[in-house]
Amino acid sequence: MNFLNKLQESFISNASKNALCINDIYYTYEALSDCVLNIRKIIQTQIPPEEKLIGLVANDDLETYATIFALWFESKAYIPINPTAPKDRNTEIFKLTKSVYVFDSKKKSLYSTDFTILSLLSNEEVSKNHTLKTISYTKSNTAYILFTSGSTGKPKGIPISFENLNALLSALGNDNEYSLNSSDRCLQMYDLTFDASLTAFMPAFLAGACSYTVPSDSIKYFYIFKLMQKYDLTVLKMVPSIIYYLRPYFSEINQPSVRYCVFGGGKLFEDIVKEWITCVPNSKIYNHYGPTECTVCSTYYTYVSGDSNKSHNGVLSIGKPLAGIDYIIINNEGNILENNEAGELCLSGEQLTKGYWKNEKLNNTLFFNTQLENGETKHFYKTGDICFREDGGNLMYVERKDFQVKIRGFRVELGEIEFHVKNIVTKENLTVIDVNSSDGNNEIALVIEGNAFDTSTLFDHLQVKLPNYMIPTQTHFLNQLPHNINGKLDRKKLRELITKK
Amino acid sequence: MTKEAILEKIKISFVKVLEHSKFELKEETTAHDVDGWESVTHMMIITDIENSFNIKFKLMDLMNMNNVGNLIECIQKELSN
Repeated sequence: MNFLNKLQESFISNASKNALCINDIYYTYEALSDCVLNIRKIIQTQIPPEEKLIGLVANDDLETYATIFALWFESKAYIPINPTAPKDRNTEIFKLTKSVYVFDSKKKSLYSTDFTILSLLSNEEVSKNHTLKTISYTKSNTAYILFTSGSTGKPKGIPISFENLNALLSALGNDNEYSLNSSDRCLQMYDLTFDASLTAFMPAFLAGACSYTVPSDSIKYFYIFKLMQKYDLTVLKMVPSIIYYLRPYFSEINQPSVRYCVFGGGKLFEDIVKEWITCVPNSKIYNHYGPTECTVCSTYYTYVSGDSNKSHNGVLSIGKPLAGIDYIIINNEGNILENNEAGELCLSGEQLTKGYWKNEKLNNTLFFNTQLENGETKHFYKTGDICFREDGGNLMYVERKDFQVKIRGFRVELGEIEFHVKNIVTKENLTVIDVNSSDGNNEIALVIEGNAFDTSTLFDHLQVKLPNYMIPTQTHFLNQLPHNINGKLDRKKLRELITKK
Repeated sequence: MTKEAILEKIKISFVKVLEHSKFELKEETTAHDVDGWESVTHMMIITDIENSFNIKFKLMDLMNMNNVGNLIECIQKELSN
């Protein structure tokens, strides 16, 4: 399969059907396709062929989606940034990729001082009379680069090639378990800077289905419930925290139209899925797992009704790998482990990135070659996730190896938050820790040793340095941070202390 | 309960959750007007209000709650049930 050809075919054969529903307004595939053509004209006339990495302010509108496809059809990559994240951080991302051109559909772009801003609004004149050239894409070219939080205080970039993305979409497309069609109505709740958005909108666009987006300033779980009811959605792809929030209201939810419900981006607890299935009685339920480095989704588990599901400490299994993905589980010495032995999950295959963006040190640490039992040598990536394989071949998720956690589906390195806190709070001992809030979600707590003081300057600083989801939602002052016998911070004890308070 | 009395009582929940009182609550106030009032803290505020009034909101009501005025109406509705 070549997903770009398939996408073009879908645009043509579904022209009169709805492709997107944004803020209750429908856009057909024809409208999307026209928009893609106009943006391609801008790209061909305004951007030199050698400029491959193009910035994209991820607004919630038709033009932003069309820009992704237009860039792909022109064999270029999109570097998405969240318009609500601090300008400094976004600018830093564009500078890291040396992007000169940025697409921004907003009337007044915040980025016009540092970059050349392109949009349908500002470039109408130039592109009107241009005849479109057809261009074939190169498999090894980059399709997108996503930036996640890094512990050095600098975001780290993960480039995904057309080949990587094609492998993912082929594997999903050949899987009969999950097959969308042009009458499906699909939820697209993800911010476009989050790779899980790709497994929400790409299968939908390839099948000619309609995607319903969730505005970034809405309260997501309420808005999703609204969309589900109003439009009788049939496919839901969500972060698990959505159902953790909705849990108190399950008795009011009954949505028989849903036929697929896919979770991804955090631990999925079995007990809550068991309750959730009563709200979506006709739905199949899948648990997706995968680091961004291995193109969105590497393994998945199909939930079975009843008590025979596989889970570990209440967390549902992450199942088996997609076609084309190989994995091994290794111990600290790098030896491959047997069934039921927990170790670090390592992934290999066509979906795996070539490596982090300009970060040789990290690439040398996290990527390695190893010879498998059959004599074949393969390139692997250490996910940092501790897992084991049960005898039935399902992977069970245990925990994160380091202190990288997921907050509202976003991957966060607590070290990055500490880094910015320490720029202001220079004298006190402090740490940043993830804690379970009463509703079962993750929250970030800042714990400072010593007497309480006014933290408003600190939080003003964090607001301009970090995206909203990385800003601690709890602040505690303790006389002393607890340490274990090795002098290491005792995180378990610390969590107990602050939840007791 | 009067609107004014409800407003006074819900302000306590807002201050407790948001950890500041640098805002004025009026019927037309929305999340945009109050620092720190976003999706996560919204749910914490709602839970705190449910506890302090000893009521339980319906999902349908929460979904259509756009400002403080709507919130007060919902509280009145639940209190009369």
